[in-house]
Amino acid sequence: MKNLLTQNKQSPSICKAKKPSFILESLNRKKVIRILSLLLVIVLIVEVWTVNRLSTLGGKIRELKIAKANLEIENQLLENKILESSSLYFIEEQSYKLGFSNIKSVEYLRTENLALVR
Amino acid sequence: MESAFITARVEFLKLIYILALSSVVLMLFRWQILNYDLLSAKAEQQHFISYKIDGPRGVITSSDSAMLAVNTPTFLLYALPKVIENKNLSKNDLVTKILNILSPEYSKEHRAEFYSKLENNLQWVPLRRNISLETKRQIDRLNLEGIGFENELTRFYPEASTAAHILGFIGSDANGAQKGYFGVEGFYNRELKGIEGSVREEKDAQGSPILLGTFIKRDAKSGRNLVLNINRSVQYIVEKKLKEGIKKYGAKSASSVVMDPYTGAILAMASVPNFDPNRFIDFPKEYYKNPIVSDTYEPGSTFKIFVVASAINEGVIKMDTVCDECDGPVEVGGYLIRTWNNKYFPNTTVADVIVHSDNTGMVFIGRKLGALKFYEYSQKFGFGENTQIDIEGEAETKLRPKDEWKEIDLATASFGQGIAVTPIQIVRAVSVIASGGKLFEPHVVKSIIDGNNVVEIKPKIVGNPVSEDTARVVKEMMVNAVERGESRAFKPKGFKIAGKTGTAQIPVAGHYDPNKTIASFVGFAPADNPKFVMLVRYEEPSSSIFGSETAAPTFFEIAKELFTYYNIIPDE
Repeated sequence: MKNLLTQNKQSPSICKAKKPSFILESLNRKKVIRILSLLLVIVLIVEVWTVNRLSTLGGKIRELKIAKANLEIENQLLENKILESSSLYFIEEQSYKLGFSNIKSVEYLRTENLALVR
Repeated sequence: MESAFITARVEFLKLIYILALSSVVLMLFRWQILNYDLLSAKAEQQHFISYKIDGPRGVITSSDSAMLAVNTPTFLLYALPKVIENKNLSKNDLVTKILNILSPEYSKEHRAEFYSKLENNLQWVPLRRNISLETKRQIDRLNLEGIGFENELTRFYPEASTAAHILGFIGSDANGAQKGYFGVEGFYNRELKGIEGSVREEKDAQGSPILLGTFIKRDAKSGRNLVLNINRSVQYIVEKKLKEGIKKYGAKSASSVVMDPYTGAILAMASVPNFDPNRFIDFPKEYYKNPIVSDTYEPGSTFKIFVVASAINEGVIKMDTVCDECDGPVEVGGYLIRTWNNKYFPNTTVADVIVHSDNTGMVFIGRKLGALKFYEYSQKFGFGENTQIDIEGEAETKLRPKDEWKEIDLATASFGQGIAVTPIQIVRAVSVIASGGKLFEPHVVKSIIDGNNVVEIKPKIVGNPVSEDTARVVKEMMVNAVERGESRAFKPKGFKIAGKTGTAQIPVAGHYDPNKTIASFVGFAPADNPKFVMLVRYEEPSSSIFGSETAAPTFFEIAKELFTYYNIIPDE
């Protein structure tokens, strides 16, 4: 063992081939920290960009809300117009204009009078 | 000496520094502690926007799914007087421009009213409600400062005056909130009313919402929807015939009610003159009341049905019982009771008393029944108490207390005079005969819908005044009355209809006016399996005072249309 150590001191290539584990660990740790830091910076940039985008969307949202409200109002008004045009008074008025008239008499067909039944 | 001077200057600077810092601390104390509430409220106003969301009122539909009452978007025009004042805007100019659009033919009073509102020392004043979208757009195009619009929901009745008395209308209460008056709008106001919601959100300097900011929403809740038993087509037929009849017979008013005798469901209820609930303010207030539930009147001969039914049920008479005092006028308590046409039929039977509508025969039957039993049966048939119909405005009627009945009271009440009833009480009582003896509670509303939850209003039997046999016998007499009575000429051929005419004189200043009557006809058809019970009533018809010549023909005309509508084929 003593000889090995002595030999190792004398031979630099042997020293390079086998680094102590704590040095490896510290190298890995630095890499991880660098990667994490980079990720953090990226996430921060993305967050700032997203928040900035969202904050300016408020105006568009407002316009869409107004447009939606206006369309809903127009929709409701049109539905009510349909209801008004479906009222029986309106239908009767229009049907007179189209030449329809009141029923004058009703003929009841009894089954014994129907040729088809025979 | 010099060092003392320098020291003094340093001390002076220290003092200035301390004073400056102290004033900063004092100001901070003032803003953050003393004025905290005021400043945080101002900050709140700058950072947050709040607005209400209307809770729509429930809609009302007929049994055949026609929309009778819905909501329509309208706008409230408001002004900001302080903004107008601060910006030195011309109020005259504003008022002129707005009124040119709202009321092109505006009067000086109109103008003065608008102007006075702008003179108010207020932040916000309402100018006009119920503005349409088109009018709003016209005003928007003027780009007027200090003027704005708020969204509102206003009640809209697509069928206009159809079923006006059943529906009622929406007005404002003492606080300016929407409230239903009359009809089902009044009776079911609580169920129909929606609950307002609100939104509170963070906004930026330009007033746009901040997506990631605070957003608090309280959802609005729509009111419950009502489905009525009313059939739109039947309602339309009835209203049309009443309008024709009121002109033809020169009557002051007309009303009619159609009911299902087996459930108490009201299929139609109409009165003329009526009103358009969309603009009820343009009609006299007297028109708002529903005469079918609110008007009391003396029913006349239509009441004879119940007296005869009561006496038969008690076993004191039969259909072929002979009246031995019907050969002339009858003297009762110092008064002489005559028939309506002064014709007398000696030894007439009970069945013929109904056919001829013989008052002297009814006095005979009334005596047989007795005052106590008369009173009891009147109560059993639902007279003297409310029917509990689900419509606002039902009138109270009271029977004369049973220990106060004199002989003359019994005599006159037996042919329907001296007793006050409402039309809904009469039609409900006749439905007892049609349904085989059952008295139902009348209902306008069929079901109440709350989201996915549907509550059906089930038919309710509230009494059994007479037996099935009695009902059958009385029904036959009513059919006989139609076939052989005064109104037989108007009856549709081939159909078996049970009915009774009524001509009741109207009491005026303590006596009866012979020229003013309530002419009515009540009946049901087809007699053997009734689809409907109906009453038609004219007030003071001028062409003829008799029910047989006014109300009966209208009844039969409506019945003919209903037979076609319900595909009811002739019995004969």
